[in-house]
Amino acid sequence: MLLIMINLAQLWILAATVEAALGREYKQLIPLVVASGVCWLISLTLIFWWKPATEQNKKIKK
Amino acid sequence: MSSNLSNTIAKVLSDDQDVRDSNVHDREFPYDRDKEAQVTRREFCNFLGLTSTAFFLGALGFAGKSAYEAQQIERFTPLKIEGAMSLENNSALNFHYPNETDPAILIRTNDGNYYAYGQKCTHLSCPVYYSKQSQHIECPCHEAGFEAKTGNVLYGPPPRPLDQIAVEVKEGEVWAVGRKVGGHNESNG
Repeated sequence: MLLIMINLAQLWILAATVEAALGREYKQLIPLVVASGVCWLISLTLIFWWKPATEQNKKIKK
Repeated sequence: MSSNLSNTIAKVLSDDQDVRDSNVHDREFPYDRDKEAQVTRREFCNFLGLTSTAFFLGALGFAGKSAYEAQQIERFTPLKIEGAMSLENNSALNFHYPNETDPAILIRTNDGNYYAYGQKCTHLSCPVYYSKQSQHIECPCHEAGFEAKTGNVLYGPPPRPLDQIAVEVKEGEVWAVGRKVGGHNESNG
């Protein structure tokens, strides 16, 4: 669910980036790209390091 | 003759029926549609990860392209706008600037001054026109309005002002001498 929300946020950020690029609003471009990059890092973190809670519980029980 | 034909048809149909019943295709190319339609959690997460990467690269690409274009110095060739001097107050004419593929609109306001803008609406690129009644530039597609003297958005969905074209009156003729992309609403285009 969090990944879906991050994707939606990135889609929104991309739309804002395109609009800023078309409007030559250069000052807004860097924060938008950084925000998209942070979202990307969060999704990578979730994909590579997140484990389902049930598996964690199993390990704890063992 | 007709019996032969009917026999042939019956044979063909029966052969076809045999093929369908035999499931040869299923045996040689096993494919479980219901099973294949299921997406595992891992596959879905990988898909979202790829989408996230694509969005990030897209934003980076657009920013990079824009930054690259910002460093390029645009040079515009002055263009005499034919028929501009005979333009009456509170009216407009269309021309192209800087290229033949860039439609533009020249407006002469009630005070006799000239203003020129790119004719593409900044919302979805519909051609805008000058309304004599409202004395605004209007977009017919989504009922947007722009101020005639600045190009700023008055109402409607466009996110930024119209592209401004710099005009100069030299020796009784009107010249287009430059074009600037519309920026902040507050900065008078």
